[in-house]
Amino acid sequence: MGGQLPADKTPWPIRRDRALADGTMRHTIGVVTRRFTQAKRDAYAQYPPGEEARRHALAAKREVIRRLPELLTEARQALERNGAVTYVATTADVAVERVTAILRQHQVKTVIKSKSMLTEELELNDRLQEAGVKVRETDLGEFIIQLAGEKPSHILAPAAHKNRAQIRRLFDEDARREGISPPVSEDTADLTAYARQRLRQEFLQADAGITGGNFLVAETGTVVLITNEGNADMVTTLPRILISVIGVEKLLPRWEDFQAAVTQPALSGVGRRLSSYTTLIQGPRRPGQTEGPEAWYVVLVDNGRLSLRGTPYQDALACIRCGACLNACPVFRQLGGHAYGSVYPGPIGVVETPALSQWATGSELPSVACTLCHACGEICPMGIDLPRMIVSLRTDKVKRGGVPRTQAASYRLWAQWWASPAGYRRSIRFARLGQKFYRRQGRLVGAPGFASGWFQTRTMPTVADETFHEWWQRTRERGTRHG
Amino acid sequence: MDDAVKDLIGRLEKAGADVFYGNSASQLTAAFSTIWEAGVNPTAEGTGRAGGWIPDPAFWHPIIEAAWPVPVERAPHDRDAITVGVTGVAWAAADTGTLALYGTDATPLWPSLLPPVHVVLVRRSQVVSSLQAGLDRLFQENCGATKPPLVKLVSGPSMTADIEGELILGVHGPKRLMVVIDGTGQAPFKGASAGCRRRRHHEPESQ
Repeated sequence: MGGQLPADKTPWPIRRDRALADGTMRHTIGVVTRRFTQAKRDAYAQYPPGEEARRHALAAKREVIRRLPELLTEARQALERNGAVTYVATTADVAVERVTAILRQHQVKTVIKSKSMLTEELELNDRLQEAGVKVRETDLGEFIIQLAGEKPSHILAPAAHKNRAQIRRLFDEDARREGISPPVSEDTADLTAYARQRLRQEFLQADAGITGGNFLVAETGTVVLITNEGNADMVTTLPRILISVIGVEKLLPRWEDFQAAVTQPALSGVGRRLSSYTTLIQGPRRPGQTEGPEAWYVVLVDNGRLSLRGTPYQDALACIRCGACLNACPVFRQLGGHAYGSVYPGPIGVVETPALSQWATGSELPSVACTLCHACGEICPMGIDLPRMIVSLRTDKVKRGGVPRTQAASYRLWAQWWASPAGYRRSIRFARLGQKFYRRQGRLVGAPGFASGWFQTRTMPTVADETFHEWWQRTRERGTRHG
Repeated sequence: MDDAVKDLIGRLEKAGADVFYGNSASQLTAAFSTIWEAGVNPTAEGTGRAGGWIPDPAFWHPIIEAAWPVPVERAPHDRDAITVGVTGVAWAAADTGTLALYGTDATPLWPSLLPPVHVVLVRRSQVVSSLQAGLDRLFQENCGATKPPLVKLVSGPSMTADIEGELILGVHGPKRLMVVIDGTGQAPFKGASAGCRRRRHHEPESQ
């Protein structure tokens, strides 16, 4: 069954051109991605145990894909031994219904959330608001885009596309609405201080907390949250109800696999050994405790993930959401995340969006959002062969008739002509004649049919007067023929 | 000062924490005075002194009291009004600069979370050379009835780069992380619970 992923209905050319026109965003994204890519390189170089751990984690993630159903059962048993109530949700709808039911059961009016890409995939915030529950994003980047009514533009830094002036304006409006003092200045420190103050009361008064999960250790029933701000710790200790919403692929089999995997997101994503806070949830409040939730629910979400097993895309389930592929991708560096029109941008998003949704969403991405430079495949710490998957998706797309008929016919014709040396040479002779219409100042500036798109931003050298074979025949063979 | 402690201090400072090291009671008292004078004036502390965070209160209490003449709030009504939270650690890992806090009934986590300043007391015997060794210890705790429902591994102050990629401290959690390391003596380590079976791919590091 295909997963339900939110779709951006705006056509690709508009999303692309809008992104290319946004100079502020492109500059910020360009700086941030390059900084993280360099930092990752340096961090692994200085920490040999990190590289050893990476290899162990890579193997563990493959094991998870192989044994997913059985590990899921094991994880649920361990979680339940720890005092959690667990559910498996097959689709996004089922997951949202389950979370809503839990909140209703406990008469929850206000929810605080730490960052979770999965909850964006489920469109949980919107659907909870519809059900009358007030949801507050507490991760600073998520809080900013929640105020702006936008979607995140980067897996790790959701507001990476916004600059200080824009953020200050958002906070000023927010302060007016809330009747509190606005930020003192547009300095990053003052903006952050505003957010800290603003969100503190909501932390202390919320009825329920919702988290995602970076890892779930099946052996011990431990949910792992990797953060830097301290908001996940607020969400896990202060409210009386806690719900963790976790994709089924986030499993790790044993504690030793967690020991290997724990440093990978920070090393690979931002070049640090660990994030500021690694929070492990192992149960609700024990007798005698004055903090922690009274009840802990874990909702494990499938939404298309189990169906990836046995397809060429199953290794995408090994993704640890580090963001390294985004940071290395030349397309992402130019466009930022919004242009992809998906919850998951960048190379991993190019694969997962059509694969998880079984072509319901993001079907254009493998063709339009990738130059096949292979930077993503080289940099992925979990060895996910994203380039091969993107090519495979392109092939699938053609097989499914996802390519316009004239384009498909043109490619078929080209393939026929170039299937033999004689056909190739014939096509070159045609091109040499036909290029007359497209020459300007010694360069080719156009081509017929759909190939004209190629020339909108490029020129090419003209077709040579002779091919190598023709030159060889003319100059050599005459000379070597003796008498 | 041995390598593990040097490593730990280096990593914590690199991550933005203030670290004080003392080899005697008077050096440690001086550290607390420095913290006080640096403008970290606690109007009330967290459960540090009176709570269960400190395995050896007879050692730490006189040291702190000599430098900080402030009332101790063990379970304050208004946790949000506390300006300094004091905790100990379960262990501290040198290679990643990590302080491990287990949230239990005797050792709640709110002093490490709500106040803007978090002071952490570490004894030399609690320092392990690698994160892996520390997580091995946690695995042992997890096998018994002492399984902590919440564990927090702190490797730096609260921070974000969400605004223009610029690093800022003190978003929601503590702005300042101040670590006091006692190089003397030993604190009793709550040892492994009975028989925890493991399948291993690596051997645990010894200190």
